[in-house]
Amino acid sequence: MTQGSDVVGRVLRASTSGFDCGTRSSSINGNQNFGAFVTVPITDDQNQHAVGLIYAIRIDDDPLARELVMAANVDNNALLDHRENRMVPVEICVINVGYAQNGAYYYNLPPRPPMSLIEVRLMTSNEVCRFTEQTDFIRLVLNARDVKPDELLAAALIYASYAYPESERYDFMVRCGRRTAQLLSHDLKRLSHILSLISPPEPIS
Amino acid sequence: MNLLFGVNFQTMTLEFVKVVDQVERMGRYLGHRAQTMVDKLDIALDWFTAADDLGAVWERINVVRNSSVSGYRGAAPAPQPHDEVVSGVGTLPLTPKTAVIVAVDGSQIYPDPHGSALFYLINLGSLTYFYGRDRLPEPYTQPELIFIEDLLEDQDGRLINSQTVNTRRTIAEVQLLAKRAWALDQTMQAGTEENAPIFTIHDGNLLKFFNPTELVDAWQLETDYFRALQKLHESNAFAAGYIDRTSSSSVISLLHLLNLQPDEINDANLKTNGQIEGISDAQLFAAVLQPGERSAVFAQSSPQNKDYKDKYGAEYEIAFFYINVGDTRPHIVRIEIPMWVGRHKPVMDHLHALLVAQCAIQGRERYPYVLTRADELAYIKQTERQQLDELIRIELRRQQITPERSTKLESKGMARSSRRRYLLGT
Repeated sequence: MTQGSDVVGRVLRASTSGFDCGTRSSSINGNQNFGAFVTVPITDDQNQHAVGLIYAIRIDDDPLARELVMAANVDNNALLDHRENRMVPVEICVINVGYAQNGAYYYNLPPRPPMSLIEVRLMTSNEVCRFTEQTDFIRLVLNARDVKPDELLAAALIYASYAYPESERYDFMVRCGRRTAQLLSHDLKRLSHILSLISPPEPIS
Repeated sequence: MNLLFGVNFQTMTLEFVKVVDQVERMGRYLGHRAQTMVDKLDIALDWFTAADDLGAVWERINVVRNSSVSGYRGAAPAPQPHDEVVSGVGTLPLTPKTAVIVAVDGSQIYPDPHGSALFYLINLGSLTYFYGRDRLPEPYTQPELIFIEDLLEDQDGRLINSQTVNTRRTIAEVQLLAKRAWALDQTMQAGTEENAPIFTIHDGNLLKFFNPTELVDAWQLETDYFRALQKLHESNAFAAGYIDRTSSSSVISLLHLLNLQPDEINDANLKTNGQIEGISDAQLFAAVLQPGERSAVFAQSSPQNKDYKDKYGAEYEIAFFYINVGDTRPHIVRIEIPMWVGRHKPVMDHLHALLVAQCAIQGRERYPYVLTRADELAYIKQTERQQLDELIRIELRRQQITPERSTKLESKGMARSSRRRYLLGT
């Protein structure tokens, strides 16, 4: 799940409900995925960390970028120049789904936001497993506003399942499906949609 | 705020009711002028097509160069043996395998007598582009804050004018081009950089006139400019000036000269372009050049250019040509080159091809990519101006100096600022 550098970006703006972090477009790699679990320190002594899910990744344009796109062939050096020198920022938006304090996870909003320019990193497989042992984070995702909560939850569950050994993935997904069913017992249409998103794909005959 | 039909009338000072009639009259005038221009352009095209005899052209040029006639300021063929048929057209050549293109642009903050302190700033931006290699272009910026009184005042103690700042910026641009080209040439000679021809692109004309009545230290500026050109030459770089919106009519003047009767060649008749007065070279070549094609190379007949040649040698005479860098519609640009570039046919072909390739990078906005980026690197944004001003104010206070304030500027700011509405309870 995490290979090499696990840095996602640095915090640009934050609140207790979430934060946006930024990185250079040239630094985009497998670390910036929709539904990925990330963590960021919220105290100087590193004893408290916010835990969040990436719910949006944005790349801004400008008139020059639009002109480069209009060219018959995008010049490779201009492309390099645009990505490396013009420092096109990539913004990664994160919603908080819990926090860690002295090694224990809490499934609520963190007590304070992270400070600007703090490094945001992906959670390790071990951390994801420990955080998702309990499924209380699902409630926070389903109640999130200004994001697509159903798609985000599905992506996060699939992402988290890969942190588990293959033999445990099915049980994890069933456990999460049950918890989602409890929370959405009043909204069967929505429940059905989420379950279809996390169901294993039918083998092609 | 007084909003009517979505327009904020409280802040409007231009009375459109009084302008609408004038706009209509302007439209009728421009329509009539456009029709007249079409007729004149037809004449110019006929004369251009007929100008295919270099011998006859030189004969006529020699008349205005070697007689009492001194008012001719038009084009002439490039010096022999590098001259080309006036009506000749160069097709788009192949680009070189590799080349290095360096562009520099600049912007400035003018000295402001109403500002917190007296200074001006020149910010230069440069991009080095490695053509034919997958290599990251190299950006470079060079800001320079000028605050010494001697450089801010003329000999009579008056604040220098904006033309002087502009000229100093232009010279700094050429000096930076020379510095970058020199460094590249040194690394190529040392073998640490792959060998490739170096082309430097300056945004603007190379034939400059340093008017002593307008500029402070005009003579020094001219000397500095030529030193920079000489350093460019010594760097084995091929220099070019890129003029995007040219209003020049040098070639039109040449066509007018060629179609005068021998007894009509006098200063009075050369003051205008007669039957084709008002047509520009760009309009002519928009009708002549296909996408990617270039015109013949010409030299500008002017006292400045003669001065360049006499003082610094034939290689420093400035020549020019036009390229249609457009794709679907004509876009004529003027390229100025010193004759050390114009005398090499393969170099001219490479320059021609590289400029068209550079313009094609940006899609619809046909302009060399290197110059666009150099401008972006040099441009000082309004917020940056304010931040610099703040930085200077802080530094002045640290030095126990109270920043100057202008009553005039502050009272103007009060009158120009937006109104506030009274709200109950505030």
